[in-house]
Amino acid sequence: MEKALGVLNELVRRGIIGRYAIGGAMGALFYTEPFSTFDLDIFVFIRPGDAGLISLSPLYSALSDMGYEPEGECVDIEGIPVQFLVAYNDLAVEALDESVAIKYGDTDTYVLKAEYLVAIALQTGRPKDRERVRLLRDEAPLDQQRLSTILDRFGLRKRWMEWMI
Amino acid sequence: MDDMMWNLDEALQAKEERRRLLSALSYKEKVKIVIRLQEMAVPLLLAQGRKVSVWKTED
Repeated sequence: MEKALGVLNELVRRGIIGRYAIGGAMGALFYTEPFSTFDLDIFVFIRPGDAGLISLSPLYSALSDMGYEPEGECVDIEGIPVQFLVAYNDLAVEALDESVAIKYGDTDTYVLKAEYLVAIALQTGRPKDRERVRLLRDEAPLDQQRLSTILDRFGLRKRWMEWMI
Repeated sequence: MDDMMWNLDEALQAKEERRRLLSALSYKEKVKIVIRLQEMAVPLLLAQGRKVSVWKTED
């Protein structure tokens, strides 16, 4: 995992991607007890092209040059299937902006704050997101004030209340 | 019956304590456990037709 994170840092250094942060299940894992998961979800900023469109081609091309090829929706980086998720809406952009710098071994990396992981899971709304919200609610040191503000600003209060039943 | 109730309570407390300890592990330690969990889950998931594999990572 440390090597994979090193590759992500290298992509940032080269300007292929902007800021990135670990999200999804592996992001939640930073705050909770370990559970089984198979993907490493990476939220990433990619600068739009001249036409205002965001293309993953430069990223995939750079990874290919480094010897890492796509496998389905993921790219195998140092033995780990990495799925890149371009910050796709205001919530994801803010979550990435607010991500936390951490160390993994000797390598610097970033993880989404627990409150944003909850909000993104609420917004995504799948059964496994509901389980993730439950896990984070029970085990993560959630900042209730921050979470409350995010829920209201992104219209997620109703689902939060429904899922808490 | 009281003994049984007491034991159940103790077991739940122990489970909660274990959960708290696991949550407090370093990220790297948690990832090691994830990989161990993958090793246990992969045969079952492959039998269900899911395409998954254990992370081939050194840490």
